[in-house]
Amino acid sequence: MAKEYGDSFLDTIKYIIDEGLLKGSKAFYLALLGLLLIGAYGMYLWIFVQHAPIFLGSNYGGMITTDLTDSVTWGIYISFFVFWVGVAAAGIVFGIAAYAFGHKGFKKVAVLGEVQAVAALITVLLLIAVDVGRPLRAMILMPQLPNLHSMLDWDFIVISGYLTLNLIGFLVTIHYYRRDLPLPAKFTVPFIIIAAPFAIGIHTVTAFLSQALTARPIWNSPLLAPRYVATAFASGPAILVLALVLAEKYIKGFRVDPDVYKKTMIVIAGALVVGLYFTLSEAHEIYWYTTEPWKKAQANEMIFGYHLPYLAVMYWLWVALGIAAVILTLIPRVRNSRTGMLFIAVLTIIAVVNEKTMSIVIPAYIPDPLGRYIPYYPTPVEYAITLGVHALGILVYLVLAKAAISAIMRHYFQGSGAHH
Amino acid sequence: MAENLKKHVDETRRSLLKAAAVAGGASLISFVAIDREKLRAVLSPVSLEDVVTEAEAAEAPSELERRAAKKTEEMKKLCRAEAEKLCKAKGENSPECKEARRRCELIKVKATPAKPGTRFAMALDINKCIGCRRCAYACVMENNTDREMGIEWIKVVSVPREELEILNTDWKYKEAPEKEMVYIPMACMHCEDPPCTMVCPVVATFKEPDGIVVVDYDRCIGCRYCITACPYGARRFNWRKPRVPVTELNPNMHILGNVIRQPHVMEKCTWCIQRTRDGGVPACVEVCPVGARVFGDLNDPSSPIRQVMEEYGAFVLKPAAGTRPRFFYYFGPARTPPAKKEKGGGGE
Repeated sequence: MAKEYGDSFLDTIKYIIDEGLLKGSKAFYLALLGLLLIGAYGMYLWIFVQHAPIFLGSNYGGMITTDLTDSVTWGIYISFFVFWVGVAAAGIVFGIAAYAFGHKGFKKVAVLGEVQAVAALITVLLLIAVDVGRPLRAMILMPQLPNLHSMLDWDFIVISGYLTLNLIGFLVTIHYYRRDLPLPAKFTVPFIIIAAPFAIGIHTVTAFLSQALTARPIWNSPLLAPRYVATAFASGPAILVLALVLAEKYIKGFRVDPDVYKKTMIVIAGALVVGLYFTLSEAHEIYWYTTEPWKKAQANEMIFGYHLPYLAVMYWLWVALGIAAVILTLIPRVRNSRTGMLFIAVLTIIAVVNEKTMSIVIPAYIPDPLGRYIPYYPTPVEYAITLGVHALGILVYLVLAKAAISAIMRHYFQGSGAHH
Repeated sequence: MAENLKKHVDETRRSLLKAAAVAGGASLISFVAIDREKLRAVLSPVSLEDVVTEAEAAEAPSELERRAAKKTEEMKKLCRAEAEKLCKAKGENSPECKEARRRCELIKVKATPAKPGTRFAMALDINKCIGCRRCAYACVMENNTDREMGIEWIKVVSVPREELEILNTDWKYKEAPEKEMVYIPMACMHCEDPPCTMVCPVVATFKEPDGIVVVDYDRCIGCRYCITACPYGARRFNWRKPRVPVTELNPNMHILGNVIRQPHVMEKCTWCIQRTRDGGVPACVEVCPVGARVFGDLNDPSSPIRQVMEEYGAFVLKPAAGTRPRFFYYFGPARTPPAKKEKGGGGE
């Protein structure tokens, strides 16, 4: 508190480092240390085992240590990539409510949506890095020789663009709040006009990666992109609610406008209903009359899991937990209590993880184009690397969110914003 | 004095005129030969070395050829290191050692470009194929494919005769041929509209003018998007450093074909680019014991592929994928004889 900062942008960065990294309780540092260790272990496995032939030129190791094959070529990394792109995209919900509709309660916490997007996108980029066979070559060649026919290049462009936008949003917000100033409209209006289409864009392009491929009939449907976006708008706000409830509990003096919760719960339930409706529509298209046998075989794997039981478990968990979350949101007593909200949020996150990750990616590979059923179970190496990447993502989130909340506190709870 | 002066003036005028004439001529030449490079070549003294390098430049070793020359050295180095190990283990005079050394010295990485006007295609007689998998074996040997991961460019799948759907296939069958089964060897279809090249984020895979779809191993970033996009399961990934025994190494290499691969890059059938670009046929065609495969130039009316397609007609697998394959399947004479006497004498 004693430290005073100037008005320059450099001071904002100093402020973020001070508030996010240098101040904090013992528990906070312990959490950071734990996450750092998990992340470091994941990166170690990536460099010294999974990518040993690339980084070390060694004869052992390689992506053979994963359970990926020529049959199932994208696994757990790309599955979680899809999920986190959705979460990043949905961070914009708070931004839209705050800056496009001018909701006072949302204005207080909109920056947390940006923090969430930044952390999610860093996770996304790391997941791509560990999945690509030759990451250094990719970094050199992708800007040099882009193939604008390839959706992967477009995905890379929009993801890095959206990451930049959110970093700008985060920095500018802190820059004003820490000096106890409201965000000027000359920033928020252009910001939201650019960021909102970008948010929908990143998830749309991610779905466009897969939906135009005749080689994967289960993906090859115009419903894939809307479905991606729909469920993203359930999981993203659910994570935000989770963060807000936890922040209220553990940070003294931090209060969230009840209307923020109320409106967010409506968004979550609405998105879930749309997502479930899409699932129903998809099932009808495949099962009601007849369909292409290859597509039906892949759908069978997804829904009944003949060769890969966990896919069926995930699919039905999505349906069951999704419906449960919607019903619980309809009950005012549950919806309006902190515990109830927390419960619904967790339920929604689990439901969408089950819908978005493996059960959307893996069925497209089983059976493969040669009609083979080659099961895919991630190996310990894959689990550990995925976990490590997520630990790094959470680490980024914690640091940035801490700085953001302290700036919010300064403006809204101690400064002039408190009187709004 | 005056006369002298006049003479002097005259001389000056004459030399001035001479100089002007020379300058005019020179500028005329430079006007005519506007190309400065050429002018310099005309005016400056020419050494033999310059002429030789210029002649070489005119022959234009393309970027690919230059890379191929470098690759030859790289492959030789790699091979010699392996051979050294082998010779240490087996002894300097062992036949393996000699064989390995011989192959290492024979290595030549080519960069033969596509011949203008050719359009390669292959056709396979489903009635003839007995599912022996000799094509897959020959392909592995010819193309220096990794031996331990079990990478095969050709996968022979067996499906029940009554249902020609590439689903519930058996690719691990132990005995063949069986009466009620059909054997379908599948490899890259070298499509006219290949989705794999469309999705590649770094243009590491592309279609050559003669119809062969190739992978540039030095450019592939290993994202495996092309496997995801291929409706025929034709692409293989090197999930670790590939291993090829030096005693079995094929020294006849093409930079876009069968050079020893790096870890984490994609590879696929190239219709034996190292053979076919030099006028040969792919190894699978050569080895097939029942002559089920036909290979040739679609633009050449006398090529075997044209004859087969005209006589029996042809179909492609998964036409709904919309990629227009150039690998055709047909039912030859064994089970469906040609329609009776419609077109006159056929192949019989």
